[in-house]
Amino acid sequence: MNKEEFTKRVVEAENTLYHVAKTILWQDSDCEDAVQEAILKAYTNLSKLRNEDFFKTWLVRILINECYKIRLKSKAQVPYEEYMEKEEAPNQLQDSGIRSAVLSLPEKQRMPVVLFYVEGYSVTEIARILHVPEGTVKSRLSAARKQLKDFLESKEGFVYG
Amino acid sequence: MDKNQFESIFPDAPESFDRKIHAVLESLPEEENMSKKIVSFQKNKKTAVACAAVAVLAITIPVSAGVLNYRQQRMAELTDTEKEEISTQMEERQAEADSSTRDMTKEELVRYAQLEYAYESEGRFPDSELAVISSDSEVVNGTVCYDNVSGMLYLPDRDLTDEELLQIIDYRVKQEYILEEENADVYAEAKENRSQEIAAMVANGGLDENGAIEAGKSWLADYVDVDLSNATISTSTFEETYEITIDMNNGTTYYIDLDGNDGSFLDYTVMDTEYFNSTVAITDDTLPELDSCYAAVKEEIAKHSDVTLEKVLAFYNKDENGNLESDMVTFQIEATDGSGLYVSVRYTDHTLLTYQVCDDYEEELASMNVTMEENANIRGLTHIEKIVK
Repeated sequence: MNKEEFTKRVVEAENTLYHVAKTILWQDSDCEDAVQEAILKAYTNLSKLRNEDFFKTWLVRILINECYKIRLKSKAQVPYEEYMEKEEAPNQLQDSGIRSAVLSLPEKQRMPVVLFYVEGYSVTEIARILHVPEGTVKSRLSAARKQLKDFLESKEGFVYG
Repeated sequence: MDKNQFESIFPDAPESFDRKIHAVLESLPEEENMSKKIVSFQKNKKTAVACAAVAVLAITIPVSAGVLNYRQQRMAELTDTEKEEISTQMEERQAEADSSTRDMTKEELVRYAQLEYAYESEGRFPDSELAVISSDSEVVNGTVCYDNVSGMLYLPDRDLTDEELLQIIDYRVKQEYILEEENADVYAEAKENRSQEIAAMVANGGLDENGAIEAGKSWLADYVDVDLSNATISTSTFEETYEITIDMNNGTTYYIDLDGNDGSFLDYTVMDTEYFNSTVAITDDTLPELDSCYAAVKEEIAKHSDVTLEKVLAFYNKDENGNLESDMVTFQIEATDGSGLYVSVRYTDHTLLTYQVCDDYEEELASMNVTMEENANIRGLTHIEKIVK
């Protein structure tokens, strides 16, 4: 993969990269730092990617590592309540409560939910990204569904399937 | 659950994010300009948090055969009512993650680890249960209690007693057990998948799980003088590689990667509480104790390898405050047999931070696209190199 192709693939993955970073880091500036490090690291190690079909999966995995590193380094995390207070009104309008419910999930459940439901990754792909067995992904999704179920059922007009 | 319900929960990336991505992409060097001279062959850099994130449902390998029996014995005593109660408490938690009113002291952390081991291997259990409350108004000053809604563990200012530490351990073990029980089918599937992966490696003449753990512990013992009797040791497998995680339960975690098929060593990293400290001021881009760092690195290499070191390059980064990034100095080494080593130590005390090997130095270098200097510059750091040999 040359630089042109690499650039194209990264740009195509931009929204996914943002969503994944945002799942771990609250601040947009931290998300930007994380994606910068991830792109550099990916480009540095590009030749180690055995199968280019897995480029996006591989890049997301690298990004997750960088996000955790930044979070560990900064230590000062914005509490969830504070983050939600800072959210702008337009986002709240889009929210309809689902976003709040997802963001309030424990992180181990939240990341599989975002990757599966928001980004459309399969369980197999998520297992590859998170370096855990497929069964673990399923259990985390299952636990998340359990927590979300009550919330979703309580929303008027929302059908839990 | 319909995926469409989730489509709009995250907005598209904002303009600032888009600008950052394009700026980084534009700064990347073209392939034809890539230097093969000064590059890293760093692999699998990890963070403790990243690993912790995948650890909860990972399969932890007990350090002795009796461990599961005592844990099972304790869990077998749980009544259905107690299980339901704890399950409900877990469901009620609204916080992002558990937190506590203060960090445990180092002494408490050590004692916690010792008691956790005693809980599992000797059957030492608390006399009573952890007090679980559902709001801060229920906190009784001077006692340990856990608010299951906020996820807050209230710890008194005094030293925690063994009984209080055991209560915390007991509650956490019960939570894990109930989660496992509620998801028994997927746990079983996960174990089966993992077993198949390991069986494939063993069939290729590779290590089984216990063999990998012993090999990892043996490797570590040559470099670090630590007592592993209270460590939590777990393994994970990925692409025919074992990663052995040795959590000392005191803020330090060792990661050792081994080739699953031949057991050969690949990678070592330690993460400790000082990992991100940058305390050493750099004057005139020089580090006066660089030679002693190199001497320490040579000693480490000699423990497991008799290769002759041919070319040695030291490099480090200076941050925006003029300090040594992560107090870390890295030595990139080519041996006379064509192999390569990449070893990082902490400048202040020569703690071994990373140790990576490759069979073919030139091939490894050729596989890299961005020089360390370019990488540092893009991150706003000053990259400094010194030819050592």
